[in-house]
Amino acid sequence: MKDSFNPSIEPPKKTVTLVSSDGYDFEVEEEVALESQVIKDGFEDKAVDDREYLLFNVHSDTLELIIKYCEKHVSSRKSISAAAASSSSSNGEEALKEWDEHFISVDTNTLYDILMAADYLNIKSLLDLAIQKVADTIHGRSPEQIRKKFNIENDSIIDPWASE
Amino acid sequence: MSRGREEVISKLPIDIIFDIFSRLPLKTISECRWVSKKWYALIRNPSFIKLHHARALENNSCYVIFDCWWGGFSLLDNESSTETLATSYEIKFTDFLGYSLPFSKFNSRVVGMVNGLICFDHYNLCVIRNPTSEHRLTFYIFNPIMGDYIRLPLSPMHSRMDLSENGASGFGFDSLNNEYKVVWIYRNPLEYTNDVEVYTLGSDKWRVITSNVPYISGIRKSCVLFKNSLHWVAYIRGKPCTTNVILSFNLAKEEFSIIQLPPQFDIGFCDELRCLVALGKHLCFINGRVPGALEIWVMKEYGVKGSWVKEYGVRRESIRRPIQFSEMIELSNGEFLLFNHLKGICYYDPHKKASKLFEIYCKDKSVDYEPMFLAGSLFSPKNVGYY
Repeated sequence: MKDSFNPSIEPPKKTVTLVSSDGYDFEVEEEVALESQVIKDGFEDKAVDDREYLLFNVHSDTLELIIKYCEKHVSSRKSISAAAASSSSSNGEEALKEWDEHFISVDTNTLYDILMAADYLNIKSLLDLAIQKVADTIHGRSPEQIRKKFNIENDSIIDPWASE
Repeated sequence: MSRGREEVISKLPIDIIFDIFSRLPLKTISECRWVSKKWYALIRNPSFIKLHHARALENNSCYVIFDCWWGGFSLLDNESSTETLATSYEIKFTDFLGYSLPFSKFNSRVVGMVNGLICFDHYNLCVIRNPTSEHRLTFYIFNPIMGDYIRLPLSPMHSRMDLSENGASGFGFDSLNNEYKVVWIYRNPLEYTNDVEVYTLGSDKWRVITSNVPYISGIRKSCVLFKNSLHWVAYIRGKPCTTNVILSFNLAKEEFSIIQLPPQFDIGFCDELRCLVALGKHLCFINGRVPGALEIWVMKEYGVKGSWVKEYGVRRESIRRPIQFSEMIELSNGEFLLFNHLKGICYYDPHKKASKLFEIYCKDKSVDYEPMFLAGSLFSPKNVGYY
């Protein structure tokens, strides 16, 4: 019985399967999947052997990105708290911020997909990141530049400054 | 998964769109109206306007500056600063008022401002020549960011000839009942009475208030909104002399009360060099009659005479003329932002007692030059009832 507690041997990581809208299976670690509040909320209710989530609104291309984001954040959090525990200096937060910045620098359509998926899966930090990205993109641009950037048709009837 | 050239932003859930828009500064968001019809409708949405306003107040991110000599609006962007401010620029509102309002800026005055809305009154001078023509006094509510305005209906009382000499008015927001009100006080020296009328935005007529109107022998025109009440400096005739007081009007109860000024200023002529301002959590009295400095008296406990304390002295070199009611504001970092009439704007740190002059523009140095700060908003005076 004593053998059951052996810290040197890690138990096999629990995984869950996420199924994208186009039918691809993604097997991810449980703690990565739990970054999504929606999955977390549903987690307790699920039977132990039923660890499959059908994500009807998330395409495999987007899901891949989302998983990448969640994995990065889970591992960064661990290393940041480990550094804090051993009181060694760490620039983990800075590095993560930089990584986020790079991660979210995508084209408009991908950004839209990430926004929709982050909203659907309720991943707050990712949603915030993507929303800020869109705001930053709009910031300082003229209506004409905004239309161009986001492929918006110009149906505005009254632009008092357009003739200037 | 290319969708080609197709707009995606307005397909997002509405709370996400509003979250995106509410992170944008006023200058950008007001221009975003002209992107498309869809965006126009989104930016006009009352829930969004409220959200944006709440966020703007938190960050006190930018202020509209009105210059009534020049008749123009500018925007001061205070966004990126945590310490003393960095940038400012003029936007395209500079001559907006000049062609957009149906009255001359020279016969009009700022009555008050709240939530990005400015109330002007306008005197129709033609009435002197032709008494049967238009009413003499008209009020307008204007949003300089959106360019929206309304003209308030007229009240028969507003045609009185000597109105400009004997009247005072105020504009405020009753946050308890979510109502905007314009208050007009007419002093009738012949009958020793004050007549008071109130107009609630969204209603269609002026109401006469009769209860508890104290008789005041004079009232200063500028009014300060603080703690859901409007405040004027007023004079009460008594023996042996006339005393200076603060007349306050509670916007929710529609009742007047009298608040005492610091004892030093009870008597004597309270001229334009002295005025009320609301700075952060306190109602303050500015004394500009001291050589070399501008004294700021703070009423530590609202309504309590003994709680007046002289807290700050802003060096006079940094301010050319006395400050008037909203030429001075307190930023969230504790600094004061005030106007320098010669060169631009002055930031004052009351703790370090340091000021920094900040040039924006130099325009005519006229006596009518009366710039003021207003935290801008997207509220439209046309549908205040929806917010």
